[in-house]
Amino acid sequence: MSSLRLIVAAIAHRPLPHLLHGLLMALASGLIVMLVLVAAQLQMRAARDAAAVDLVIGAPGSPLQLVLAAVYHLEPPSGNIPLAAVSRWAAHPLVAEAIPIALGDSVGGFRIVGTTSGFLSLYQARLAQGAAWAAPMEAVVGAEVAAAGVRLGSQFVGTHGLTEGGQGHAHRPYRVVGVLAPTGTVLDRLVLTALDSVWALHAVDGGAADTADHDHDHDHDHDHDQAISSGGTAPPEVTAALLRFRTPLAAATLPREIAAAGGLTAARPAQELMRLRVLAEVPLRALQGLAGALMLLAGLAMLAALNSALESRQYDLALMRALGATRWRLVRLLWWEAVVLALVGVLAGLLLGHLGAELLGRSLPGRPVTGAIWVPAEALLPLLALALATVAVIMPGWRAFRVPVAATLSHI
Amino acid sequence: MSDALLNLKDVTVTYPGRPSLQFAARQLGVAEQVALVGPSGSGKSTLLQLLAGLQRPTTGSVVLLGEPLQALGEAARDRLRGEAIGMVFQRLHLLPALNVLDNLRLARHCARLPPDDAHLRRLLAALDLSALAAARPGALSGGQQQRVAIARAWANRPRLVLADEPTASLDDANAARVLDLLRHQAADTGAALIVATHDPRVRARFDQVWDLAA
Repeated sequence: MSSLRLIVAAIAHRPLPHLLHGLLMALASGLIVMLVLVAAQLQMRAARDAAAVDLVIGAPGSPLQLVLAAVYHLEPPSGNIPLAAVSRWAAHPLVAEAIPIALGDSVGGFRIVGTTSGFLSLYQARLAQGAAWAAPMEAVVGAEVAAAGVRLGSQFVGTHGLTEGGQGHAHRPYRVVGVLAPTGTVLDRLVLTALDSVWALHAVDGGAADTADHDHDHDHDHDHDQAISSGGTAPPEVTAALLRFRTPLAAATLPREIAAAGGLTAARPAQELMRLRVLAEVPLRALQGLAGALMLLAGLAMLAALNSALESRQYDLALMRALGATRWRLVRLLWWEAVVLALVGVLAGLLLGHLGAELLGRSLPGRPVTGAIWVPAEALLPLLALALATVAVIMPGWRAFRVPVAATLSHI
Repeated sequence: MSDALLNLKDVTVTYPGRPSLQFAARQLGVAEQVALVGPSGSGKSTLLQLLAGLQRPTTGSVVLLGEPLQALGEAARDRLRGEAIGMVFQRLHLLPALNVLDNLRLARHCARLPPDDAHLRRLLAALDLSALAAARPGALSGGQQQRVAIARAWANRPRLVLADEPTASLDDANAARVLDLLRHQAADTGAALIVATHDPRVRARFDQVWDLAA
């Protein structure tokens, strides 16, 4: 006979109230775990994406929009910049490399990026199949794009905008010549091609001035507002350029230098990410507060369950005293019972939280979240359960401490 | 009697608003068996509580195994009770969540004594309960539950067993059987036995009687 066996027997003898309060504890802690997992993974992923790029330069506008468009590929770009401007800053002594990107089209919701081979090395990408693009209209796809069905050797048509269903360039399909290994970055969700591909398409479709293109895209998401000029009479343009600094000192001076030169917006992804985090903090905190309130509710439910259980266990406790158990022994027993219940609830919550995160991840494009990951903050949950159990047992423990043995057992 | 197991001297118990209970000096030797009798309100239950260390006397002394119970703290009395005293309650008080064997184990667990299943199984065998070791109390007849309660009283190899009205709700045949079991068990193990009763059938079977009305 161990205390644990005694506790399990007591719980098994009155399963319903214990089950209900355990369920509440599991749901509350599961929600907390899911929030922690999702927030941590989205932040990690955003940080990984931002870490590859020191500075983005693009058309004048919001730095946050520029980063969201050129680094995270979530927003339409605000305009184009001359390729010459990119070349100028690429030659700056503080810049290690400047990789131009030309955006505008997508396939199946995945963005097509016209760029140079430097883009692959920027994200330390490795080809899993095929080879890098060598000619216009050849494309290399990220791992998630390939998993979505755009496979090696297949052909696809790019459509305007970032959402599915835009107007397509049916007469100039792309051909997939390579598939990248997963990187865990935004690269997994991109289709890469030569700048020439994008220029070639828009020289044919939109022309250098792109007025018509601008008009027809109004019904979409404005992603194609400023189609890429491909030469001809107009100088070549790109959407933005991703810069790597030669030295960290550049972070302090280069953005100001670019701003002072005029005509461009310079945005630091790390800085914009911080701003994004601040924006996301409020709803995240609200959700965490809600989960915390649920946890508190679960603690109160445990208190109620222990108290009501105590009503029917007065005889049991008095008997144990009569059999030689000290008062503190009874209190410890109740505490252990509360701890076992809370820990079982929290363990079930951990399981539910991970399962929820996995299911959520599977329901989102590109599976940005997984349940098969451990976040250090989760370790606090059992400690929280322990604290809740301790608080919940104070009142029933006090009652157990003072149980009148002789009176309860009537005749000893 | 210098080697008395139990020694009561000048014991009084006072409850607020009620007359004091006074108990004559008494001694109990090892393996002695006593019937504790007296009318309602004479203090039979109070005396059993004093002997069990569940209550302290207002004055006087209760010495059990050389330990003055009135001078011991509550935790020390709890420990002494667990190690040296077995109890049979009128209402049995078996835990319904535990099976028969676990109800016996509980007594050793509460007294912080090491597990001794061999001893417990011997007890069950002696009381014809071996086949019911895994049964829950709710599945047993009243007589079987009574025997489990007796077995539990001996789970810790007590020096003194206190039984409170163990035959109160039993017919003649069952009352005699329970009493026989108690007395034989006490005789076999060398434990002293005090049976509080108002039942003349029980009183008649004891050579030594403590009559609180006397």
